[in-house]
Amino acid sequence: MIMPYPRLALRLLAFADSVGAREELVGDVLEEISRGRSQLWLYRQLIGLFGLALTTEMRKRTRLTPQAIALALCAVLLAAVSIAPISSVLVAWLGFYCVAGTLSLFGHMASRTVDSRGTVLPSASEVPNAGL
Amino acid sequence: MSRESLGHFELLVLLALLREEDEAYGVPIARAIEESTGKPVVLASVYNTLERLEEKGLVRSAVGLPTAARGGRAKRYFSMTTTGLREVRAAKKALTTLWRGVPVHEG
Repeated sequence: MIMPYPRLALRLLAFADSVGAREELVGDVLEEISRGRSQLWLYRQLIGLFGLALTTEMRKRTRLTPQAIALALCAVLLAAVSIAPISSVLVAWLGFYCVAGTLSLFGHMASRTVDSRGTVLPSASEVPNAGL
Repeated sequence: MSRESLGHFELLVLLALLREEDEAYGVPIARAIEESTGKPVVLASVYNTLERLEEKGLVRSAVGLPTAARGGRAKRYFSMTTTGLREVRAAKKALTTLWRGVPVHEG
């Protein structure tokens, strides 16, 4: 019974396949809709679904980034050497290296902070499968 | 136990997966977590976690048959590997040991 759900939400769900959302995930959402989940639940799942598709896509694209950066740096260095003395280019390069390195370090630290995990679980007597 | 320990949600997903046994796919895993924690679970986060666990070699998956209730889309069934079971046991042991040392506050 899909009728009580807003048309926009259902269109977004149908559109999810084309933006690279996982087939089994869309199937799971449809299965739960047929069991009568609320509209709020559906919108929450849609946000998660599109968010996951977007991050997966970004992860795929960033694999090319190191090569692109290396190529761009080589091009900049060659261009700089052709128009300025090599000592000036080296000084500029070191300055850039320090700034970019610091920014990269902060970026890495920030990404690690997002990934931090806190684990607090009930005691063994409260866990049903205590005999694992 | 591997160098990287299991996160809270990862452990919840693995335990839900163990409980569901042969019927472990996104929906029952998410429902089991919702029932145990009392909080709504986003299916995408379950799949994201399962994907990460699969990359770590703790979980394996197989595609099932498509059904009409799912708009012709197939289910993906998950099961735990031996390494996964070992990690869950190690996490339980570590948590139990830690909880034993925690003073009980009542009232």
